Amino acid sequence: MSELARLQASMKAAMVSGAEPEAHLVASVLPSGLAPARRIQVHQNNYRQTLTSALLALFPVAQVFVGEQFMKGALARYVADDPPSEAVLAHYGAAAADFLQVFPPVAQVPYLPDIVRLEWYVHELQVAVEVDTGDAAPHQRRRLSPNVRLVDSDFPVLNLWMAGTGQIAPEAVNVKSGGQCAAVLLSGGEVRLLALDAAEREFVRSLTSENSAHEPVAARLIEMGVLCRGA
Amino acid sequence: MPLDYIWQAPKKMTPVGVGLKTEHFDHVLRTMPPLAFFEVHAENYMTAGGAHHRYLETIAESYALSVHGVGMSLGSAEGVDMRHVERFREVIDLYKPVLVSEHLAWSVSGGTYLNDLLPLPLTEESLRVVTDNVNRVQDFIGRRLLVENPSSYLAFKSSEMPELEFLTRLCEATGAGMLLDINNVYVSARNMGGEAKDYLDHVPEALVGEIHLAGHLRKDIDGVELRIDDHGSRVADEVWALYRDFIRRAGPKPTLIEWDTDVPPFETLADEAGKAADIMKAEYDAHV
Repeated sequence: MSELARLQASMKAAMVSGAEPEAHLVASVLPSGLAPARRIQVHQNNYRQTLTSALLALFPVAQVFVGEQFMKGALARYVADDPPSEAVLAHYGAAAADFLQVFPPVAQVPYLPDIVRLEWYVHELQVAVEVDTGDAAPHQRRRLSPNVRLVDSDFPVLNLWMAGTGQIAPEAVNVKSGGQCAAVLLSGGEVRLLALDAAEREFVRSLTSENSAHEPVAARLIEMGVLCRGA
Repeated sequence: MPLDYIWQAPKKMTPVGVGLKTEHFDHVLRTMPPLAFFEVHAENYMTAGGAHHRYLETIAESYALSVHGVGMSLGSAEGVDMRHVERFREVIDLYKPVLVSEHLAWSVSGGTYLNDLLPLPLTEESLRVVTDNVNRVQDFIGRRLLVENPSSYLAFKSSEMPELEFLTRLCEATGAGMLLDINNVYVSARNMGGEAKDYLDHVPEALVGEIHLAGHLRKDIDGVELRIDDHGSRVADEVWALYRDFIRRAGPKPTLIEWDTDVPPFETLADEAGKAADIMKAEYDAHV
């Protein structure tokens, strides 16, 4: 490993972990007025703060339920756990919901990961290009439209989302009222949220089976843009 | 490869621009402010779709654009990520900017992107690495880059040459130009010692294809004042004075106002751009 590669690996380790930098990194920095570790800390703080802020901006609804401080803390842990692998920050945060799912403090608010998942899908489709699903032949296999993401939740995720965005009163939502399946759909350049009813939810869960008894449900889902036909 | 980092604004236009923020899209399209160009961060347009692309396509019909990369990591010992360079080229091919720039910094190690412009030890080894990376990028995109001087918060004992020598040698070796960030020169001089005026007096002006101006933050750490390049306020008076001196010596240069945090109404950016235009006009008039 070259001298420069070694230094960069050491700086990366300090930034991602936020921990005390390795001794040889500290020793390589000129003191001049301020201690080297404090100078390195400027970059450690910048890493954590800028990425946490970028993610915080993606999940405003989740923040309504747990507050800014909780989200900041949880997302800072995510940033340390799963640093970005590319410079396009619009692609960063896909795994935040999965991280929160097993992040112990979130056990108090078990619906939070699904709200984060829903917000991520909205963001993901907002920066995606709508795929033309065309008019495939009726015999072609039905599949989930590439313009759709599903959040099949054990919680009333859409009602929670509506409460979080101020569209319904928070007291109108009972988190124990059963799960909802939300379809996030990119259509005509806009991202929309749809609630799937029990039959529709059941159908998309069993997409691999081509049971003709489900035809009316399938036809409705194709009409909604949730399903399409094709390979 | 032609010296395509030199751009002259259309006749009678003072070459000033501002960083284009999503918050200002509607305002810009509604009022069509009299600016010579807008600058965008390349990485924000590396998504396949999105409303921001539709806005920029419309704005690009009426304005010259500068595409400014923040994530290329020209200083990475492991080389530049060619997938990133490819996306960078796609943005350039799509928007056909008049200026294309990146930083003398690194931000990727072991495939992890650190979302910061990190300092390099200014050594012969680093110079070889950055030269190779700049050459690779320029060959792939088919045009020359402007390379920006960074703001520094730390320096390495192993450095073997001053930053300006490093940048000048880099430009000589690659044919790249310089994006001279005068706020960064000032911030680094305050943080690391050295004279900003002396640095600017020695910049080979013919290499400079663009100037950046921005505000910075003062922060007290353990009783030591550190200047942080946060692009979140108006340009400091000391930086305006340095800009005036440089323009007097170098002549008019495309000049951009950057503002990336606590973004104010568009009028504030336009007001700062107006100050740069006034300085350029005053210095130019004094010479003719």
